[in-house]
Amino acid sequence: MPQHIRFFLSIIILTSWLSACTSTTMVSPRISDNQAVLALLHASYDHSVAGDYANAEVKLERALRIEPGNADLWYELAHIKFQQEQYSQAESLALRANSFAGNKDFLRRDIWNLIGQARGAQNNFNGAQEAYKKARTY
Amino acid sequence: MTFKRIVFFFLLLLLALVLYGVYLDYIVRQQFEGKRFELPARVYARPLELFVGMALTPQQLRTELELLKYTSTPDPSTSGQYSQQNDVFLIYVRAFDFWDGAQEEQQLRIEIRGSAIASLVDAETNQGVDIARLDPVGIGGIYPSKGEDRELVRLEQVPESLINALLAIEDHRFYSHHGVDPRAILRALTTLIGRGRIQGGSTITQQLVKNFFLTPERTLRRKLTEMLMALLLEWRYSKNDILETYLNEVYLGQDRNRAIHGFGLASQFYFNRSIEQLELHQAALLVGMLKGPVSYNPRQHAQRALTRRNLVLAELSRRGYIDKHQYDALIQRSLDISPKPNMGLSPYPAFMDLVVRQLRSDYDEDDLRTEGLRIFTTLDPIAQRAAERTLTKRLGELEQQHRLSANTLEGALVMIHSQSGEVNVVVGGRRPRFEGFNRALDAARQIGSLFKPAIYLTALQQPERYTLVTLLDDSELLWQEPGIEDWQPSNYNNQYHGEVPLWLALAKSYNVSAARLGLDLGIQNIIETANKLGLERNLSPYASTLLGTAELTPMEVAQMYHTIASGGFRTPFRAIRAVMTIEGKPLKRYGLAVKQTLAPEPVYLLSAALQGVVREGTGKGLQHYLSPALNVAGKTGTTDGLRDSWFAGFTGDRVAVVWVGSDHNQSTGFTGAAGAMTVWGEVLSQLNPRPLTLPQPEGIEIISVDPLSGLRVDANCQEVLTLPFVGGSAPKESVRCTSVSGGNKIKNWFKRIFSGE
Repeated sequence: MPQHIRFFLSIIILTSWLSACTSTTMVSPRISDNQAVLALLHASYDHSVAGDYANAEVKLERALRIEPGNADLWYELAHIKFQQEQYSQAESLALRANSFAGNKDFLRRDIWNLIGQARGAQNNFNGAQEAYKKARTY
Repeated sequence: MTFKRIVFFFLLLLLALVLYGVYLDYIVRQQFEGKRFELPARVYARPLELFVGMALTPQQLRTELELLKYTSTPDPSTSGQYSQQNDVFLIYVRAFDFWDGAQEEQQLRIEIRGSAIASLVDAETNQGVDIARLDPVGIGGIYPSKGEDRELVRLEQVPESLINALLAIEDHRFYSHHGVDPRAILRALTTLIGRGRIQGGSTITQQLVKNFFLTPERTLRRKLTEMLMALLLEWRYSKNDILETYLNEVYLGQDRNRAIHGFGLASQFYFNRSIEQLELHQAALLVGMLKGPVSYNPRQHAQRALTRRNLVLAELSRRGYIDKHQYDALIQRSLDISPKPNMGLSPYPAFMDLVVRQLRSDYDEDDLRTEGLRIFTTLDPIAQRAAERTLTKRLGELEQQHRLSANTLEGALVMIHSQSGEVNVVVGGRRPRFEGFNRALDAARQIGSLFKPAIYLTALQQPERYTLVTLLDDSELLWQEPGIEDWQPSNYNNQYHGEVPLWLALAKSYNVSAARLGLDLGIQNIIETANKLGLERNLSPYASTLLGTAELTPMEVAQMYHTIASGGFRTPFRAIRAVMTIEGKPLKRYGLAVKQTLAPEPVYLLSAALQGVVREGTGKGLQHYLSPALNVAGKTGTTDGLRDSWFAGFTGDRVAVVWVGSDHNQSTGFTGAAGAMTVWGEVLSQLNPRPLTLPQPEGIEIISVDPLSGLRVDANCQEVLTLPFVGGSAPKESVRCTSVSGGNKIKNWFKRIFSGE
């Protein structure tokens, strides 16, 4: 391939990759239209990353009081419980998230994968397999 | 007298003194330790969270601000003040230490439009604010039995200006003497000689010791004992400990039957501020009041208090703690007393009862009463007050309407947040300020038709046998079981309705079809369903249980309906969010926890049917209070002889249960719909309820059916019922549109609910 074509091709690939990246580093606007919820979710992420799970949970619970039917928030809470090795609650909260997930297929997939992991951690291997299988259907 | 005898006598005296000293030392220690650790826990309601889009009326915001003792002023200049111009509020929010972090003072500008917050801005920076919290309303404390009140402060929290003022006026050699100040005594003695009575001369240590005695005596003997004890106190404890205890112990006033002890509480009581927020002229007043809190009470004797305060300021100036410039400025200040003292004992005893019960299962009661904990609860004071007011009012109206003598009826109400299980309201009776029988938590009454959803839910868990259109048999039923009397349940008007679709039988609350259904399914299975819904009480396995002879408290009923409202996820109720120590260390956090006990599809069908109760059935009257667009789900409950009137239901954000009846189990003369439901409706109508949109589980499909036959029909037919079904369970057969000739036209209420999705 001629030099300049290779050069332009790599520019195109690089820019499309970069734009894909930037759109996923921000909190997806589809999670909520409510600024308060988004602010709390951001704060929760920050706490999580710092390992301060107690405060991460508190922020999420505040967000859930505002939007109790928001599947992403429930999922995030389930995830935090999982990080704290509270597997039974992680599973229950993920199931709760699932009930609100509507047609958010990507989220459902994440949810069922988390359920699978949580079940596995509780030695419920059959249940885990079922969950992973379900995740693959999305 | 020989020399030996004198010595002997002297030694004996010495021994007596030593023994007396040991005795006093014991008293001192016991009292001091006791005073130090008699600390109540302070309890708070939920903080009001503010964000753009939040449903809130100006009246509700004002109610919260009033409960918080914020002063209304045209130009808020200090925290604890607000102004309102039409629908724009300017609030100077107080700083507050929450369990999840300290929050600084903030000035907020809030604009409300159409019953919701339209704009939320930081008034200083003019930047939009995503979310803000007001400080939480204090709803009381858990106190030692004496009815005393404390707001414990640590020495570090006390402003230096207050300490300086205190020492300057009361005991300026505090840090250098050993409990007794000889120079002060000398001065007092000269006063004694001059005026013939003991006056002053007491150090702070001595004043503290004075508090150890129950009776005030101003004799020389008492004075000497106090001096001795003061010396012992200083020997045993540090200056700072003594000072701190003194600051928390001194008597600074009276609020009806509640004594105000300590500067922390006095600061709240007189100025609505925490001690750290006291300004110098306010501290000076409190110090001035030490000599006579009743005679210098700023609310009763303002002029006298002002003079006294200025005297203190003069002394401070004389001793060089403040300069002339400050002095001149400060004596110009008014007293700055807050107009209304806050309440001590809780105005919400029924809710506090729940808080205490929840704490008791996790803590030693002594810990609770002695640690000075800060407890953050889930109480919603706005909703609580609306519920209290409405219940009391409606009970009076119902008595008049049904010609009952006054105070015959009682009631209870609980309200829980739908998804989180947080208890927002507990009303234990028609006189909510009084600590009495807590009907919400303890009155176990027959629930009547409120039990039916457990039967229908059990049925709907078998979609191959039962769907919402399955025809049930509402003809006469005679149930015979060996060992019990023949049972012949009847419907409300003693009518029988032949074959009825399941959803209609529930909507109209027909007894006979429900009883037959329950018997077909097996009572044990029904009881198991009730258990999964969260009912822990043992139910008797007899047929009569099906029609609600079980006795439950409103709280237990709420648990069952809450599980339905959360789609089959049982959520234990919480009245507490977090507990913090006095130092600010988080002690225990009651987080959100759920457990899926029921498959979501049958619960969804049941919820839809409960919406039918309100649209078409016994709950129809709710529309007088709440718009049909809210799609409220609920169930009426009436017991035999109209002894109990119940309503349990849920909106998008709240689950609430109301009971009305008589404590003596007399007939009320009205049904659940005529009584409890009206209370329910009126309360919810004041609280901006969210519409109920049930999330549809994956296994559910929506089908159009013919109302009469329950068979599939084209969606464009005139008479169509659009209902949810578990996938594959809907009737396979179709039928042609029935003609529109008379008969009952059943509205497409389900269609309206689901087409919005």
